[in-house]
Amino acid sequence: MMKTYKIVVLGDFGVGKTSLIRRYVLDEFSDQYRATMGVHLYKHTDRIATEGGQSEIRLVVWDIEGAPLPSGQTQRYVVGASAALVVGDLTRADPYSAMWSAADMFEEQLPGRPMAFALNKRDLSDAPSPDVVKRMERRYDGPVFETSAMNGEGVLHAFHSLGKSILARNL
Amino acid sequence: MSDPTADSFRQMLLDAQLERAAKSDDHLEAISDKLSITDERWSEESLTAAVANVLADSIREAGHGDSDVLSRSIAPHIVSTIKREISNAHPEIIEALSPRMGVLIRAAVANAVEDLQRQIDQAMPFDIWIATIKSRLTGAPSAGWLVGSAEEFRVLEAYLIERGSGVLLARDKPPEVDEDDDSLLDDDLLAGMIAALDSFASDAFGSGGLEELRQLKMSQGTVYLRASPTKILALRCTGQAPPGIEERVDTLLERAIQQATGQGEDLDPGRLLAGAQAPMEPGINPAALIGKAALGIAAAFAVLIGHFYLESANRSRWVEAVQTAAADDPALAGYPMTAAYDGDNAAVELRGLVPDAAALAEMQTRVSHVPLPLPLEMLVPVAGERFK
Repeated sequence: MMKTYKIVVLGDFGVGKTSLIRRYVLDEFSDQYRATMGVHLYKHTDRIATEGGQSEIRLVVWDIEGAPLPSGQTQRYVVGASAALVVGDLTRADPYSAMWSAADMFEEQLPGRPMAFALNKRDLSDAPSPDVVKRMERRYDGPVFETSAMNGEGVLHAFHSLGKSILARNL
Repeated sequence: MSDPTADSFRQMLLDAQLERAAKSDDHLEAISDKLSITDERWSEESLTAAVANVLADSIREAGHGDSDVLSRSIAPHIVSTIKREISNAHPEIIEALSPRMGVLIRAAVANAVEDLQRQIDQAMPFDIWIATIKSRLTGAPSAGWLVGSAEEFRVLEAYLIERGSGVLLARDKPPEVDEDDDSLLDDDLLAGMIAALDSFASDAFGSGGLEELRQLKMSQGTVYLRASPTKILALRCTGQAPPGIEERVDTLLERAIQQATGQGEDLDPGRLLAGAQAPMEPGINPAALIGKAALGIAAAFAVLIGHFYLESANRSRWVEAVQTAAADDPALAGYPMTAAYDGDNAAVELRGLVPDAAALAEMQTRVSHVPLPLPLEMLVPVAGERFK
């Protein structure tokens, strides 16, 4: 049977994690904010372009609550993930600190697992990406994408890059 | 006899002030009610003496006529004194607030159930009804699922799940279960949800996880759950459970783990249920049925309590986030600022005092950046305006 992989989506609350997932899985967007409490799961089968051609991949995406959860619960939800998408909000004064924290936590739990970074709400911000983005890419060896859950910009690329890494490393 | 013209003028000129005065009266009455809680414990004389001593020290410390510096210097002491007195009167306050807490708890429980239902509905393409929770909350009989339990016992599916990741390692179903049957669940999502539930239960109960939560009641039957340190066995069944099913499930898990350990990813999914059906033939046993019902209720309430615990923790975090953002300004040092959850209005309420309009505007900006899933009620007057 086709192998299933777990992807976790991490980041501060309100940065648009659920919106990105819903854009990817359901191709829809809602501007009605509702905080995720605990964890929500989404399943999506996708075709990923690899060096050997197209590969089909089945992902279960764990949308984890952004607010700090008590007693290491976020860490427990991360267990066994094949990859993580770390999301930040470009409209915030400092979108990066929370992303670093989430990435550090994931790296600590699952060293070497692929990560990608989504700087979300690109449609609401014209600010140029600062140097910290390049540092983030180097530090975690994960690509950074500017995304917009509202218009779909960069969303597929972000998830596909994770899918590619998972297949390449056979995680 | 009043002059209508004069009355009309009075109303035009003083309408806003009268309205504000009426609101102030309401606030004062509420504050007075709260303060009266401490009346029996603390006399006016003793409170006045305590505050006067603190004020005297503060004025000495300030040392000059700058009223702004003086007020900033005094305010923290007054606040800490009030807090201390309130803390000393804790039992009385709890007693006075108990009717309100009752309302809060009822609302929280109702919200918790609604939220739980919504989360499950969103996450999975099927209806899960924890009938016993609803039964307990609504008072409606739980006959629905009890009647369902009287059906012949059938094992519909077995899942072997990697603990933590929720990845489905193997799935098996008896040949007579139709693959296109609507009642079949999405395997991967069910596996993920069970793993998430395991993590959730571990946090909510402090240990154990699925070891504590051995079965789940669902609209389409019961899911029996067993966990080893690395794997979870989930057995979805319908009908009345025969005696000894718990032991049978234990045996199945042991066997599945042995298979998985020996064969790794080559585990034959079709062997999970090998030999399982025969020993699980139905047998009518009312005592066992009642036992299963009690277990179901316990499990459902355990989930509810866990969810309520997390809901409360979430609210605390939102309140703390608002409080932190509101107070994050050196100019507000010494000014009271308290955020709390308002159960009646399902909102976060921020009360306090700021020195000027600029501080208020900056505070509003900071607070507006806190992403709250609840409305925010601000009752923060500017000190100068309030005391003019």
